[in-house]
Amino acid sequence: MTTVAERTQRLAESWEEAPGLASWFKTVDHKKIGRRYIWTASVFFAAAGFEALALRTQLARPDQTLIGPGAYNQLFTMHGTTMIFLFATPMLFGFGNYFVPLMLGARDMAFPRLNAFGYWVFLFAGLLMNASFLFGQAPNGGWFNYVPLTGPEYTPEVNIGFYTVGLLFLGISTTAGAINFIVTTFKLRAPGMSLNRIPLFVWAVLATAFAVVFALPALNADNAMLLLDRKFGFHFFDPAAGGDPVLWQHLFWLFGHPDVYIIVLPALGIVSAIVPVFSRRPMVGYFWLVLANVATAVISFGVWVHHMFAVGLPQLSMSFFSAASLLITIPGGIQIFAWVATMLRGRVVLATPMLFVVGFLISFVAGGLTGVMFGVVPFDQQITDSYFVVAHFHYVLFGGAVFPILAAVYYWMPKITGRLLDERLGKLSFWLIFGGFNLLFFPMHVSGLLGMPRRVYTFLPGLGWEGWNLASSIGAYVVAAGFLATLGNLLWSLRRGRPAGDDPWGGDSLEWATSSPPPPYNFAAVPVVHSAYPLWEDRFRERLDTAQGSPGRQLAGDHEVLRTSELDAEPERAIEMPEETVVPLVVALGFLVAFGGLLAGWYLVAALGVPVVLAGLAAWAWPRREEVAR
Amino acid sequence: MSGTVELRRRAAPLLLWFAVLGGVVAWSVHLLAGWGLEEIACSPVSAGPNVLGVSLTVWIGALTVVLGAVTVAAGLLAWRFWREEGAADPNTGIEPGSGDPEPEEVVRGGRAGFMALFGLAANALFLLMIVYGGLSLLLLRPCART
Amino acid sequence: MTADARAVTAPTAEEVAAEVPAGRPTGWWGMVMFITTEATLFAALVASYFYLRFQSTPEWPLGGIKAPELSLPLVMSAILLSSSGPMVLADRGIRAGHVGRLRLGLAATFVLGATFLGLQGYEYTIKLKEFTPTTNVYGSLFFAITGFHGMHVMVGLLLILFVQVRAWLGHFGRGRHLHVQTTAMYWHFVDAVWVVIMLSLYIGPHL
Repeated sequence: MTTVAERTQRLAESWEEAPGLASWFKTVDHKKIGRRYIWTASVFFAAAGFEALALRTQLARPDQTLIGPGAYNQLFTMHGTTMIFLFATPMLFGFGNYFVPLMLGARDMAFPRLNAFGYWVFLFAGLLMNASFLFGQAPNGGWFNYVPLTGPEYTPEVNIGFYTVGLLFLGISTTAGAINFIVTTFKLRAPGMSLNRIPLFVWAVLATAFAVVFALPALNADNAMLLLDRKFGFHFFDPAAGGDPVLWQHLFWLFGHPDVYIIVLPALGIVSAIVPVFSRRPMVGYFWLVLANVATAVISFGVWVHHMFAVGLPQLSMSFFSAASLLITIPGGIQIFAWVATMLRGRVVLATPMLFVVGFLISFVAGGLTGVMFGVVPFDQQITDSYFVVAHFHYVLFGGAVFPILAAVYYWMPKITGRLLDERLGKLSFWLIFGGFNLLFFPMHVSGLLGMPRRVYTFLPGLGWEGWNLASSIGAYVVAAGFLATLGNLLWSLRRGRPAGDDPWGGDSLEWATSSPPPPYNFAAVPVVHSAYPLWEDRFRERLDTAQGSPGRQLAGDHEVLRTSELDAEPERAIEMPEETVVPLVVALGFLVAFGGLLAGWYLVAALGVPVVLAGLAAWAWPRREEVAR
Repeated sequence: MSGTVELRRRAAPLLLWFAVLGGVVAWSVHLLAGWGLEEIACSPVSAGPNVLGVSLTVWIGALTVVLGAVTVAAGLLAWRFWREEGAADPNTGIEPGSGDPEPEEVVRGGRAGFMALFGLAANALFLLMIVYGGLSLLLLRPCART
Repeated sequence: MTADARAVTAPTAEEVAAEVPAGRPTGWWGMVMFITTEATLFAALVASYFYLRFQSTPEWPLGGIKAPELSLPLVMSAILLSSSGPMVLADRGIRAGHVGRLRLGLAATFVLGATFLGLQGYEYTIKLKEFTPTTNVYGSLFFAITGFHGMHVMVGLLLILFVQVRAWLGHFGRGRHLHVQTTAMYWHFVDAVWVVIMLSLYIGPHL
């Protein structure tokens, strides 16, 4: 009979990855991969932020020539593309990667190697797209890349190639990540965590993952068709040969609108994780929040034409989409009411994470209000493509995603690093960012209504736009200062922050039941839950500690995880997780060679990537010796 | 006789899924079919606002009625199932309590009641959207453009 | 009789609450999700086909291209769809522990699938004499959609080959057959997509 100590030793040994450089390339640990997503996404955020500062500097005054029109087009295209594809979703997937298994009481994601692969593809695709700057040929057709401007006739240069190939490549990572989240959430929950006890952050990630599964194909089809048109003479978007440029728009927004919810939903999930803890009470309306998350994800597929209200489509079809666009506010509003009700009926603690949540509430609601205005077709047709649109989407995206991400940084970094951040510096950072953000984007509502079009590299004086633009540009620098404060806070906390301990905030979910940072095996024993707020159940920690005494709960076999049933989370069996391996990296490199070769037009090189991918996949799928023996 | 009981036993959870997702699927079909029919009827090569000789108004009206009815059916079923699972308060089993072990049936019933309530609310929302979409028919001429 | 009639009516609360789905392995769900996303991709392509078709002049295919002749594609369909049969044999066979049926079924599926691809290649040589992907959007759509499907068949054949190698090495048995099951799921999916393509691209223009 083994003792608890012996089993714990075995547990630690089977889960620890070898230290050293080789391990860095071979890791399959969701916590390491999650951290990498977060840090890499932060670098891309900084890059896109610098792009924005350049744009705002150019627009601070009329008639400036700091940045010419060609460079300006590349900067705003890459700013949008990087923020959306290389920062927002990867950052949120990073937090998801780290915390979904922990919140579920699991030891890793369902497919650890797929997880590693997804990160490498994200890194390589992001580098590939940004490498375009080295050639001075970054994508320059706007982040939604409309044809015919981006077609072979008007942009034969390789700029758009970086866009189409880069996003096709990146799409593999996003889809892989989504599938991983879905299967993990279905099968690796702690016993007792039936559907109605899944943490709201996990529900949000699940809804997002389903949206990815259904939305990415539209973008992939679109980019594939554009690639074929541009490089191989196909005619999907060529009206002279029976094609239609509007098809690009339909497919793009069929992806693009769900994509904004793919960005916002996990962020709203972060808010749902933070509000109960900092209101010191369970969420008012857990049920309504689950409904709202799922309904939003579903309805997001039925509103895409509202991005095309100025294209000249028949009124009747626009009305379908207008109806859904107006009604999608219902689930959106439900979430807001649930959070506010929880705060009103609780005892709010305004620590930095909660401050960022309040900032989110104000900004996201403001952005939502202008969004509803766009649902009304006649109004939309007046302000389409003006700065009013730019104001709206920055309020919902910055407000709806960046603020919650900052809240998550302050809330969850202590769990990740084991050190608390400084509260005063956090509050300073918040006020700089919140104040700067409003100074930056609020004036755009006005300049938009005054007729300033978006995507212009300069503007004439005397139109009444000068003051608003100058205010925005000043705001941009204030925001930048605020981010520097948070960065400084993070760096400082790594050295000098107070140790966080297991549970600095008095949290409700399972990540707070283990150390900060968690051991490689996350939990010494499989937790059993009886509510959606396990840490707030009576004597939860005692019961979890006692569970270590039972081998069935401790699960100290070789790298074992407990598989449970899909709806009611009843234990099924222990499954063995793969060890660290370099195969995911090799397959990702194979894809890089294939996509890179395709981009460059070196088809022979591209073809070389294919056997690498196939061999890598075969090695991946080959059973481990222990599996065959069984 | 046992055959029909067996069939009913196997169909029962699928009926619950219909109660949960019926409106979602109905609305999706309504949107895509309605939009698709409209694109066809109003395309430059179409003779009139009709598809296969039937007017667009009739098509969309029929879609709205049929799919609306499906959603109502799913909603009624959801209501019935929620009542059967004890008409539980939505927070039952969700809020933290004593943490004592619970029998499987309690967990399962709570989860099923949660699903039924979800279906009830979802079907109401999607019915609203189907009706709104169909209503526009009464206000707009088919194939009018701005 | 009335007792029976009552038995047929209302399901009990317990029956309704029975957990469905339950007990599926993670790999099974992974393949289901992968198939879902690929199916959506084909749906987007086929929807684009119909979108462009109904935008154009009433003449379809465009530019004087003839509507696709059906005899070869019907043969191809028969071959591909029938290949699901031996795949079912293989899948069911290994569940019961019959390795022989697994190997035989996989081999038959592979031969039928490869024949389908060969015939498709032959069909392409004929079609390319009349039009290419660069002729007009009809050509682009035809070759892109059927070609994309063909690539999926190719991937399916590689999967079957891989599983066959492992079958000969004795990796599968009763209770150890998940990869056979997921390969079969993928293969049936590829067949189902072909049905949609057949109806939309081949039979559709004749209606």
